[in-house]
Amino acid sequence: MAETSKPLIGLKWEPKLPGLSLDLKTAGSTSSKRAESTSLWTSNSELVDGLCLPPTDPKKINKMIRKQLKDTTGSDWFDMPAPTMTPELKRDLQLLKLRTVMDPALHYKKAVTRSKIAEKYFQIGTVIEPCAEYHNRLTKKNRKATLADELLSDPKASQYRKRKVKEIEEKSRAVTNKKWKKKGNQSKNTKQRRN
Amino acid sequence: MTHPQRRRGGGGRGRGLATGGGGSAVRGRGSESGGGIKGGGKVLVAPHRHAGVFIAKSKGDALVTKNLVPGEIIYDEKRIFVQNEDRSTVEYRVWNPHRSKLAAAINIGVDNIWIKPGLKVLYLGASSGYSVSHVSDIVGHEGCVYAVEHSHICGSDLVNMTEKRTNVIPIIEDARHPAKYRMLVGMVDIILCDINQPDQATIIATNASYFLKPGGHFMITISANSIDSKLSAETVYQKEVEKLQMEELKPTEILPLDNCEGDHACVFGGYRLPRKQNS
Repeated sequence: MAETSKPLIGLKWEPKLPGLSLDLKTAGSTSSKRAESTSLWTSNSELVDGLCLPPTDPKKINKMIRKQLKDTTGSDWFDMPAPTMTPELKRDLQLLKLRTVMDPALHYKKAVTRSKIAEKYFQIGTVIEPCAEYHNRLTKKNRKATLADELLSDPKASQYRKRKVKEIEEKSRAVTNKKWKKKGNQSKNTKQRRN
Repeated sequence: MTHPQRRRGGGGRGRGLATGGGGSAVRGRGSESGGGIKGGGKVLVAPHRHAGVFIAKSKGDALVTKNLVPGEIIYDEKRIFVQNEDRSTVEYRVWNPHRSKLAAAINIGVDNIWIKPGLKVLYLGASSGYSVSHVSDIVGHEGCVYAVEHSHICGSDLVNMTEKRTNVIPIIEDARHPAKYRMLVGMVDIILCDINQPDQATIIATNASYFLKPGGHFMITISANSIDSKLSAETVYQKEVEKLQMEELKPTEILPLDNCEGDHACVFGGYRLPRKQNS
């Protein structure tokens, strides 16, 4: 049946009957697999795309082979795998795009044309500093789990960010005329009350 | 003289700013040895436009290569440790453009460095082996780097470095006489030359005639002061380019390196390139 360990799917089909093995050479290697499922009925995990027989059409065979290959950048970048997208990763990517606005003092040159490879394949790692750079490392508390957490927890940037968020909220807030809030001798309400 | 567009560069300012606080009001992008990257910080590693090279992004950017020998560093560079979903681990080393002219050229935005995983490289003027180590990272286990260095002090550092890296072959010889090490070196795809000698054009020409395959490429760093300190930098570069062209080394790109001290330029080119057939 379909063997996921080898790139080629099984192009031979044999009924899975115990004791009936035409191919004696591979008996040793596949005996462990056969021991798992000696029943005639094969579970879905062993079938490829729910098919019992491998297709004879070479186009379809090639398609199945391509599906079984891992999604990596290829040999040019040492087979860097594509990560499974999680909401945390999405947040990390978003924040990296927005890093121009996070700190007013830091300016970035315009990014090179976004390559398809860099958008799809990437890895998140931690920096290990050399012994000599003892002055340039984060404290244990400042070490966060994700890139987003780290970028957001920078105290200088957070001050600026909070101020900016307040300013934006002030502008976007609907103009309300809270007359009861007005204080002082000159306000209309207090004048009326006094007189 | 082709001046390619400068797409990114550390610039003169912002050099050596390791800490996040204080400093100048306008800081350049942290392309210099991980400007904003601190030990213990998180970083996103993505493939660079050039094969075998990667970028590490966080608050600042850094050029990195995949460490051929995980756990080993050459001098004091930062490493980036990545754990994949299938529990395999990868390590990257940060490439400092102030120490390595090739890294500086990549940061400025050279079109093509011609170095790829699996290639054979001849590096003349290997020095202590800092750039050589990164080239060996790029070239990987299938490739090979022949590092030629004349000085014995730098040579011993180089040999120590190659003890761990099996794809680097140290050659402690004068590059002027490639006949002396011809039995150690096979045909190479690329020659990188970082020798600051006035006759470096002839040096690279003789080495190319011995070892460089037709259709191969080369890179030379020209230090204007080393060749002729009286002339202006542009004239020196022009003269060197003419010398190279006479020796069938056709330059395709000339890149002035601004972020290095002094007048330096990088010349990339091809050797005995096949003639374009006009259809």
